[in-house]
Amino acid sequence: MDAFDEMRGPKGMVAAAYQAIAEWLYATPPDLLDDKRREAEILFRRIGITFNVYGEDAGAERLIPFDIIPRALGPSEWAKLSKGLEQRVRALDAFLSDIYHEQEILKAGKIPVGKVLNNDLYRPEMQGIEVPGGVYVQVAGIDVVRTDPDHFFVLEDNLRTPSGVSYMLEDRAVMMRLFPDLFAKAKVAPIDHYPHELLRTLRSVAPAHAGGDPVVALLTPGPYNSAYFEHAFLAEEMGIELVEGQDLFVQDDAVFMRTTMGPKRVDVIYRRLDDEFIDPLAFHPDSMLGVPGLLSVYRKGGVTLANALGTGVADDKSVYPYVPEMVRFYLGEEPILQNVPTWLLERPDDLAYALDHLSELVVKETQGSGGYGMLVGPKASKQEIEDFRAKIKANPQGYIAQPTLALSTCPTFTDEGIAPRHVDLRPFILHGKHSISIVPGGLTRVALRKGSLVVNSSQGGGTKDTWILEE
Amino acid sequence: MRLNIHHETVYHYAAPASYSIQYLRLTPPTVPGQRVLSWKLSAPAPLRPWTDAFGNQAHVLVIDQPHEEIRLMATGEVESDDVLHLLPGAGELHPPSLYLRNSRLTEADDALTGFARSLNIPLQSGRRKGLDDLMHAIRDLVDYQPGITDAATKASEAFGHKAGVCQDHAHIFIACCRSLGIPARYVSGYLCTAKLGEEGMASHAWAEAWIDDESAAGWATFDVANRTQAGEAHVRLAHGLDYLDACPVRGMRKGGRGEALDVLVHVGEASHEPKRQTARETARRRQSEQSQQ
Repeated sequence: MDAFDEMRGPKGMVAAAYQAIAEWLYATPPDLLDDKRREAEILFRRIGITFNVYGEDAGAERLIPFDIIPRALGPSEWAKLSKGLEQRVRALDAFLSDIYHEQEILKAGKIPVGKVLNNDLYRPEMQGIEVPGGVYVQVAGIDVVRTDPDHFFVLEDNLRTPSGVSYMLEDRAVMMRLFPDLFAKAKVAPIDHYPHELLRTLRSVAPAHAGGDPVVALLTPGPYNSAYFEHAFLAEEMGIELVEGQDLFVQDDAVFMRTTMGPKRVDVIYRRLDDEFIDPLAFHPDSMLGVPGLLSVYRKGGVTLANALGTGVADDKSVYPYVPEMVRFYLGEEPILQNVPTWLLERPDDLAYALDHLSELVVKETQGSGGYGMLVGPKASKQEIEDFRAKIKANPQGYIAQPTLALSTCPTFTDEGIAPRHVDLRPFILHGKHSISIVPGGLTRVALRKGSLVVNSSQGGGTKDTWILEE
Repeated sequence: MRLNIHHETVYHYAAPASYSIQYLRLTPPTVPGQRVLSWKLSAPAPLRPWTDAFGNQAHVLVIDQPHEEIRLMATGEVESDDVLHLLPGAGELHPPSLYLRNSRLTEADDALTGFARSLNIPLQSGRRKGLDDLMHAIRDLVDYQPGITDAATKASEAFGHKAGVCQDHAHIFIACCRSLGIPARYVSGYLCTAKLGEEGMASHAWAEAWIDDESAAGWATFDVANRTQAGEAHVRLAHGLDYLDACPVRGMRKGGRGEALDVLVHVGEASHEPKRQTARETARRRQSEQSQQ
């Protein structure tokens, strides 16, 4: 498969956005780069940025590999991409507002009713609630890939508790520390204001009673969560309290946090805890992570949850094929960003096609994430394909299939020297009461294994600093 | 018929609890078939009203002082019709098709799905008659027998035991309906026991299934335990996907080991003597409690 290399381009010419990077790579001896790479690793260890890998030893922490060669996008590429992301987030939010109120899109027959109302990720608890500013998804992480210079495809929308932004910020901080000269040569748009923008977004959606100075807290499932580092990092950067469920309690139609100064009312909860665990009196009865009574306060507008409950129904992989239709239905616009063509295996024709072409396709679980439970046909063994075939046949509606895209590559520091490796990009979109803002950048994930198309950190992926060049 | 209802729920703790929070669904709505003439709900701390996920009138009770007891008292008068109504879906928070969702306690396993299919219930016209058959078939198979199941028992488990209480009968009925693509839901409420003569069922549960044919559209009731439709002896409190959504009390507490529960329910015409219905059980779950019928 001949993939598009973002630095070399289809014709082997160094792209404008990569000019400074190419010169730097040319001028820097490989052993010096290797020294810097080691130095970067020491820095990351010192910061303590690790993640837990599910399915390995409980609590096993690992350092996500960092690649010292940045990934770059030019100003016009970014302008188009960010416009497309903004459009997509507007449509997804309009969809959530609709399905939790009038359900016009279902009545219009644009999406099958059962796909939404009987979706495990749809929350009846959200029905009829007015959320501040009509915003459901305050923080979205939308995964995009490129196959050529002109096209971005959305691979998946992450609308529940998307993570990874701490890597975006730390990768930049480490890069600037290791290679200050490089940043003198290229006009790279800054991203360090992300925590400030996030806090501004969260404050903008506070309930009306909060007045001009709402109290925001970050609710984490705790240190055993794979993204705990990020929760602590963001809370500290924003200067807000990092709390666990046991630190919060419900009283008089309000949520309070216990502090050394006594109880303090919380107006906005930036929650990184899944819906199912957030209130044991309404959801999973055995959850010890949530706040009993929270739903009653939330339904009465006494506290804002960011993101809202029930946003997962919009990022479900079986709902994903309908997002372009949402853009047309709610905004009356044509989608700027394309979807990857998707076969829904609940459909008999799609299933038959997919089973015939498993060795060419990527198959994913509809409600999976993190690169778990997926099949990359061209890279899979015969046995893996047959195992997957059995799983699909047992539960076709649990899977979708997509063509194996020739993901773009970027130069990456590997054991065999600098070599192209496949990448994706997760920009973070902040949707406040009055505006949508996207910090210029995102998390670039790189599949470090040669030829691999799976970029997830849990599957051996690494990260890169992502540059958006200014005019 | 005018029904006087007196429902007292008392939680006792051997060691005091420091904080308790409960969602209460103890306020009957006025809907076709029942009118609430008066109703009073009292508790040891202020009650905060809210509307739950299914549109039920609910309250939150928070007690943040050390306590060894929580006494909840619901009393009032409800006028019920003897005409059998279909409850219209219009004006509800959710469309009927929502009630095709799976839920924790009503997920159908192969045995339940197979059982439901074997009855050949017509999905279009004649659905109501078919569902009556389903009700009887379940009741024939699943004995009314307290003490076998508890509040957390799933439909499939009760079906396996071939025994249970009204809650289990309702869950099994709901699981069967949904497996056939018929919207169904759980209703909790009261039953005037004098009318039907069954013991220990003043607090009650039944099921509703969505009927949509040439003659009518609406929710039809199926009191599986008593092989009847809900009539003038039934007073509804709340509905949901299963017991967990609609139960009269769902709560959690800090501390308060050694929970014991006393429930006294009397439903009937004012002249009858109250009958004590007692269920004592030690909390099965750490910091959690569920009222039991």
